Amino acid sequence: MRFETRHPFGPALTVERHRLDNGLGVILLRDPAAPVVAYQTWFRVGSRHEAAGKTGIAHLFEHLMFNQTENLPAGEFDRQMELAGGETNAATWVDWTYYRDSLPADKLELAVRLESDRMRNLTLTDAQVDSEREVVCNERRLTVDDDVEGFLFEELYKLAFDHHPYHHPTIGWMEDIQGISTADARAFYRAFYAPNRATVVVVGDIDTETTLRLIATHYGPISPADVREPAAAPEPPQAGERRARFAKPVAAERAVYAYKAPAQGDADWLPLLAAAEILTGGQSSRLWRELVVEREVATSVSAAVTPFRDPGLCQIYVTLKRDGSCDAAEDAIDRAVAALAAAPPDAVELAKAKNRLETSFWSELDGVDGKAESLGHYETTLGDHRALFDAGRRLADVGAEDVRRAAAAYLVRDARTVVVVEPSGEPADDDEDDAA
Amino acid sequence: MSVLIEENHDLPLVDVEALVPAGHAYDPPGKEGLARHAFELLRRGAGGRSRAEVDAAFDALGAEVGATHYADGIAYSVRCLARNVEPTLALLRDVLFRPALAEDEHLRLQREGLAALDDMRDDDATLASRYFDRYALAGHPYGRTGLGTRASLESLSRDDAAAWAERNVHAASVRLGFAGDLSAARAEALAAAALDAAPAAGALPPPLPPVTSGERRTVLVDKPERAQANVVLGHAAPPPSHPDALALAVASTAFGGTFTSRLVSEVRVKRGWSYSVGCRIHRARAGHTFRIRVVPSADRCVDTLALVLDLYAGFASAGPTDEEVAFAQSYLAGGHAFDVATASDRLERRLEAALWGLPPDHHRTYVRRLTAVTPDEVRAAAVRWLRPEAMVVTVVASADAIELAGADVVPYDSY
Repeated sequence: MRFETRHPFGPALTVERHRLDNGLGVILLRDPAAPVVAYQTWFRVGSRHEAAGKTGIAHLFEHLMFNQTENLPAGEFDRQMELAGGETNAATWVDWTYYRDSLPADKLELAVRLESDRMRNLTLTDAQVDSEREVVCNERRLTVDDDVEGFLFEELYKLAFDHHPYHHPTIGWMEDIQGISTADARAFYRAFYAPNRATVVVVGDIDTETTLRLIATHYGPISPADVREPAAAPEPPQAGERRARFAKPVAAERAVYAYKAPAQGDADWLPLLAAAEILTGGQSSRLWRELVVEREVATSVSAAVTPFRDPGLCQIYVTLKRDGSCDAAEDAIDRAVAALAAAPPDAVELAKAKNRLETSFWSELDGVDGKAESLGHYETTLGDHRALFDAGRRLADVGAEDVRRAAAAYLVRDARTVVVVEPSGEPADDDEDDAA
Repeated sequence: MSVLIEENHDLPLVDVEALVPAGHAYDPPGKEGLARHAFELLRRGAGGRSRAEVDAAFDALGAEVGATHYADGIAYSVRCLARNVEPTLALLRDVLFRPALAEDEHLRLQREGLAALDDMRDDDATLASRYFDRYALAGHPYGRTGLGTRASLESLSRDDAAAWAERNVHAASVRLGFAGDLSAARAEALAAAALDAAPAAGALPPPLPPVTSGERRTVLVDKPERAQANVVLGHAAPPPSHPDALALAVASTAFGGTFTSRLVSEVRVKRGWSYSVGCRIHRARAGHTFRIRVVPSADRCVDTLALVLDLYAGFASAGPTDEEVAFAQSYLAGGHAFDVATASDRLERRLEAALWGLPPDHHRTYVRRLTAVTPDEVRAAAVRWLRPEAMVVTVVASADAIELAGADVVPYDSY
């Protein structure tokens, strides 16, 4: 185990990164505020690594990681964690997969033992894969097929990206999920689950030396994998607006206006985030004020810039009222974007956006789980957890002209994709029955 | 006004909670949605500022303002940068105690409330809970919808909202809480300054009658083009202050509160029939409700419901085994550290205890009381309170895809 970096985390805490000889990264943050620990394992594998016809395998495999190992029978991982009062979960996205254990601090050794075991000793049976495949099909029905927002954003990425794997959904296409075999899952495990593709992040009431010793003992013997990660196909510049429209059983229209945006590590990412905040952040923002308050055509409007390793999207999402229309929303968005691209925000508006972003920034670091997630995301997506602290500093340096320039450079119509969902039937009369 | 304070200086943030103990359960019949409407109207102009000026002022401070809705109460939840806590609290004071309650903002909010009904119907889980409350708690104030209905929202007047505020937002009713990067002394000073603006103390809402279960009933909420069935089923349970409440929480955890519990093992792990499955006790002062949620595909709905009801009947007749009780106790005791891990967690727990009439040391003594519960006490509570014959089942699905014997079918947009 070798020490790599040390960095202050707020006024009283210090975050350290170490590395095992097999390549496993270890990030430790001793936070004694409560007798709890967040133990997270971040793998540099996500849906960007999936091949055509095998979409969804990163996410399905995440589910399968909760099955048996050579040392533990099926169900025993969850049983031991829950017996200790722990909560476990996992998440897969485009650039990463991570596994989270939230435990009483005195149960740290349990997490180290079980997580190191499943990093190398997972075994899979056809019956388990069949059952979990069905669970994931149901998850897809819940979050996409029967969820208008999930559906809309799936269609957005499908349309906005032609070549880059951000084109396909992390949960996968239904026919691909149904075709994933046990052999596929085993091959995926061998290819991507290895210490040199992972970072363990531990935050909580820990003793640093003891934690390092435990991790070295349990992970040290695991061999690294010879991984050749194919580069994701670059997405060519978008040359012209793309549009799609769908009918669903909703009462009112919904739409997303998404512009090609820089990667999270790009210097323009924060200025564009500030631009998005000026447009939709808070009830006094430009678009909320116009669409929701003054013209009353929408129930909400929000914007997000994707925190992706490669260039992604800046998404403006509008939920209309029954008598509102996407045409009105689009007109307002076009005018607001053009105004911001033409003239920088004044000092008051810029300070407002930066204050709101600062609150959001610190909020993500609340509790041991939040701290671990932020450290893990930055380490895995941008290659260095210290980029988190850089982001905090760089936000303070964002100037009005930076915001204007980012809006002018990225919020352009030719690089925009628009997806609209409209009601499939007549709006209900909303007459209420008297049954009780 | 009493003040709750949880100090922590790790991050430069402060959470402020302002709780009013008059949630939607106190909305008069025919005026459902009043508490939510009136509480939101408070911030639509206050202290001589217009709505736009109040919005701009909160945003300029970086303050995130939200409302937390309980059946028994309603709270402003404000998170702000520690350096801005004083002006943020001054604004919140104006919102609570110097609201404009303007007619034009009332009308605008009324229109927003009607649109919110449309948004609610796009979310099947919310829709299932709304109908479950309606039928499982029929006749009890907890059965009233917090969002309101079209008719009830249209009946609200600006004077209704003003009367609600006068009745419920005063020195004796508002409970302020602070968590985060400020000292206790500073929090007390800020609270005292806010209190200066509060109207003189008035009455507190009266206690609600106990919740009781009715008869078994199945309702199919018919919504087109559903691939799945979004199901909530359950019935009434005793209030948090009841001697059986803790034993019943252990029983509920053993049945469906963990990934390795009976319900989750059988439905998800063994069969893969639902991604989302579990049970929990939905808390409220006058009585809990015991709720199971499961979301099978439409073609598996009937089989899944039969399995869940069979599992529940078996569990209700004999209760959990000694091993299941010990496991649930260990899980709940160990996990309690996370319930109170951060300052904002601890503040939330204390506010809930206050709202639900629990002693102030409820969470400090929780683990000791939990581990003292015996398996026999858990089984006795389970047999006493888990009642398959009173199970109300609400299913949001497409009626043309599912045949549920004996189910009443209602259109999804009829309530």
